[in-house]
Amino acid sequence: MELEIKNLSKNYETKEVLKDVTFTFEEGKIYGLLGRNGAGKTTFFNCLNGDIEFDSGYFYLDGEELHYKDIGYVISTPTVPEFLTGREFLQFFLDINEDKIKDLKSIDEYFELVKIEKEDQDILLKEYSQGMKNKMQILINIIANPKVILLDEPLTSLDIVVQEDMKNLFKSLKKDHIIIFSTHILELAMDLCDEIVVLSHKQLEKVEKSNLNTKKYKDKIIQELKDEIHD
Amino acid sequence: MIKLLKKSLEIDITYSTNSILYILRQLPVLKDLITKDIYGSRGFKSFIRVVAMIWMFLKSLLFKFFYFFCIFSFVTATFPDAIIKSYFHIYFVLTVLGIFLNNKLLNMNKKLYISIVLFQMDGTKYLRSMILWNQFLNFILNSICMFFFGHLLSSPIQYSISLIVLTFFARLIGEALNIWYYQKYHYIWYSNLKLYWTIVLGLLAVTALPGIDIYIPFVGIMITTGCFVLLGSFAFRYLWKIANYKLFIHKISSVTNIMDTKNDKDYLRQAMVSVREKDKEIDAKKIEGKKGYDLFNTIFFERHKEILLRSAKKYSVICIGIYIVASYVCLQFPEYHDSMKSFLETKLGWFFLVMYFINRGAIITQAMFFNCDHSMLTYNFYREPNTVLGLFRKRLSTVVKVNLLPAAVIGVGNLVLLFLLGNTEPVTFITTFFYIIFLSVFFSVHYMVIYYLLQPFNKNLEVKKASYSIATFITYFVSYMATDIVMNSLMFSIIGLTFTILYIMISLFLVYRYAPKTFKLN
Repeated sequence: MELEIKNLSKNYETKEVLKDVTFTFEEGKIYGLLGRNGAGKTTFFNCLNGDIEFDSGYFYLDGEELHYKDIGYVISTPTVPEFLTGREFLQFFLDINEDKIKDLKSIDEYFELVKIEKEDQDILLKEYSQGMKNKMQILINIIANPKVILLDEPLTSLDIVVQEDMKNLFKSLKKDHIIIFSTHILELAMDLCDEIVVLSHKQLEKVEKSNLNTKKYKDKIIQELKDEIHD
Repeated sequence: MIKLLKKSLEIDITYSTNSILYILRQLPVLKDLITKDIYGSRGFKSFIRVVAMIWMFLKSLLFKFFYFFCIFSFVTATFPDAIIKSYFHIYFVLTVLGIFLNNKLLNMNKKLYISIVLFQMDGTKYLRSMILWNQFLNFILNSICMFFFGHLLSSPIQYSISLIVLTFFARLIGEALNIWYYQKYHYIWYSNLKLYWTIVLGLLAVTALPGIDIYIPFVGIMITTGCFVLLGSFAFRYLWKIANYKLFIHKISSVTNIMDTKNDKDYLRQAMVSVREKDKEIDAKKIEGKKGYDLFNTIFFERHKEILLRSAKKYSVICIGIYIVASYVCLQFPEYHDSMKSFLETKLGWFFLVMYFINRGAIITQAMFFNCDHSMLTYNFYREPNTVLGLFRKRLSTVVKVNLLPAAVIGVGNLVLLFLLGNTEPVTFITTFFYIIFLSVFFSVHYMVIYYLLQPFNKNLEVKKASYSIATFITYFVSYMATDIVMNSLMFSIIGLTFTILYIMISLFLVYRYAPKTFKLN
């Protein structure tokens, strides 16, 4: 499975954010998307997810036009229905999507997957911490089993233990998915991702590791990012 | 589709049930009795669930009833000689207006976002189930209200039946037109303000035709109903065949807009205190030679000219206009002298309410928090007692000065009127004038003090402290009750002056004593 981005351009009035971006993402890999503040990482995700109009470009998944239902998008500020409990949210989601979900598990198993404790399962999502809301959002997107998973800084609000659990979860998912993981934390990207892609000069560029050791690879990535003329 | 509709209603009911439980858990005694576990329990929650269902239905019915009641009261009061004709005329035109304004299917809200984006419901099934449910519910509610008010008016039953049918199909036409426009132009039609206002004002003008004794004849309503049945059937077919509804919702929904703002009220409050584009640039002369918190304070007030200075000027101009008219009335119509004199000499309490409405204290403290303090309070240096009190002094002095402008206009206006009415007592002059000035200072101090002592807001500008809501309610209540006081103006001014001076002294003492501890983030 391949996700092809072809000639994607996006401008905000006079500001050009993405310029004729062409790139191919492959199945079975986690891509770390790095870019400086304001480089356009979220804009790129929003274009892919069909949330904003773009000036030109095409997306293909295995040669066919990409459909929004093929995408799961975990945003950095989690959005959940605040006046439902964690259990109710999950139950309704499973009821509504039962025909689409492969390998349906019980609600408790799903809670176990993202380590939501028993005592938190029946309280309102409004009362969940940011990290717990994030876990629920990740969970929903995993259950829906989209082919492409976009993760916009999903781990920043989680504690170290849960971060590790989530990283393992993403690694276990990559076999049948294309995962694009946007982050500011270089170490996290290098630890989790199979490929590093930088959004620099309004373009996506893969940073080849070749035979470089970790230190040299890191320096190379930072150099790529430094070259970006930042405003 | 039926399964999806059932699930969608179940989500609505659960959402309402949990919201009621949440509100109950905020109340003083109940919050100790109802624990967090209640959301996962069955017994009490099942009871609240029934309450929520009844409430949801009643809310829709009451809303609809209120709509009909407004038309009914308006026509009975305005056109007593042609009640039935004008009632059906206005209802008919408003229904046509509803085609353009009352659309639900593309009206982005939390429910739609939750259903389509979060729960990933099938767009086509969701659209169809919502069409059926909205039509069904509206048909029932409309029929109840239409027959009830038709009975009250003793109007012929065929009028009511015709308008029920008309409304039913008008809604379908409206929804279809709205989606058709969106598909063609990629934006919702009322973003086109020129078109929006042309339609709204045009139809509102038609609504007013009974004022010049012109009514849409019943036969016209019948013919339109017939046309609507035909058009509505096509609209239904069109809506039923829409395949990419989910895509529309994805495009319309903006994650940040829908879910981040807690509700429209908070959003409006935030928009009201936001810095206007034209105030972002500050005239260099205004800040020349200033430094430290003096500069900080000046920048803040320069950036909030719209809600401070400009609005104070606007109020002042309006007040000048009112006093010019009052002075003219005073000079030209001596028959009003007695009532005007009695008002100015015995009902000064009214000015309590006037000053309450004119004072910008409440809104400026919200702007202070939203655009400045909520981020600055995270720094320790900003929470130093000297800083808190120093800035309080500077802010208070600016707020007092700004509010004094309309107060001075009202004070002088009253003196002019008193003079024209023949009252030239120097003592009354002085006390009446200073009473208004001190009222203005009082409200400025009041809002600053309760802000510094209670600091009730969170980062979304939601009020999180009941004590602040109670304090603002009491302020309004006292201002309102003051209008009932009938007292000699000299006596009233003296009591008013004493009260305001005492209040100002006590509250300033409290601020100096406690604000360094109470002025913090929630």
